Amino acid sequence: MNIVGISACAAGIAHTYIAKEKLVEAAEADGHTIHIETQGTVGTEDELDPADIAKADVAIIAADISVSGKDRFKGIKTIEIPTELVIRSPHKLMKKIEEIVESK
Amino acid sequence: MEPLSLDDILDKNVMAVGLPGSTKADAIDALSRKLLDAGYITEIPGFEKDIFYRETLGKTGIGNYVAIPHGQSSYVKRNGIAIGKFKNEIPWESIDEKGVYVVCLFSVQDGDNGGNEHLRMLAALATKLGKDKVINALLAAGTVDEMVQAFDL
Repeated sequence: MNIVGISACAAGIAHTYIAKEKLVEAAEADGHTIHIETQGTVGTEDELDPADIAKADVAIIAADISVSGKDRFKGIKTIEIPTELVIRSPHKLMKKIEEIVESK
Repeated sequence: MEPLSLDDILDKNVMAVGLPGSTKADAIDALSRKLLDAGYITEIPGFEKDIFYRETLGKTGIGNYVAIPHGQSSYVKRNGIAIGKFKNEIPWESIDEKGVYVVCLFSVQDGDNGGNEHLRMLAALATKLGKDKVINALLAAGTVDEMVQAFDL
């Protein structure tokens, strides 16, 4: 599965990056390819490559605030969740995403 | 200018193991005191007010007995992170409903922006805290050196 996504939290200092790492670890453990853009206080980092978005099976928005550039995911199954849920149970979330994508 | 590495932001002067204390206020006090002594913040009361404001916005306990209180404050002179390991489990608002043993208190200057290299390093450090093996090593650390080594994983 090819996954793209954005993470962003209220203060833009810590949860954004922890959530990203949790998503990456969980996705890679399940053999998926994942790219996550962070929108934090330092600005946008690891900006998504349009080529990765084009081949994505699913988009994850792990955010507690509104993110910019959601329109890039038009036509892609998009899952929006708070960072807290990602940090709490990344593996469970990945399984859920696999189910959603496979049932499409 | 040389790019900063994690070692530049991990400062043993603001790290400690075996800290006493039994409440969140005790923990934040102890780490704020270290930040003041090491010249990261200008005063404790104003800094703590900003930290506790962030606490009202959402849980900073990230599970597995670790908390990451943080916030931007005009009382911060230098961006940094104080890390303390406490002897007792401290009650904390955590996503897994457990208390915490390790508290990573981020001091972040007000009005920072994308040009700030230190803030980027704090983000890199937060990324490390997303790794289970780093968390496990932090929880197992018996010395400050071992805490620093945990971030190499």
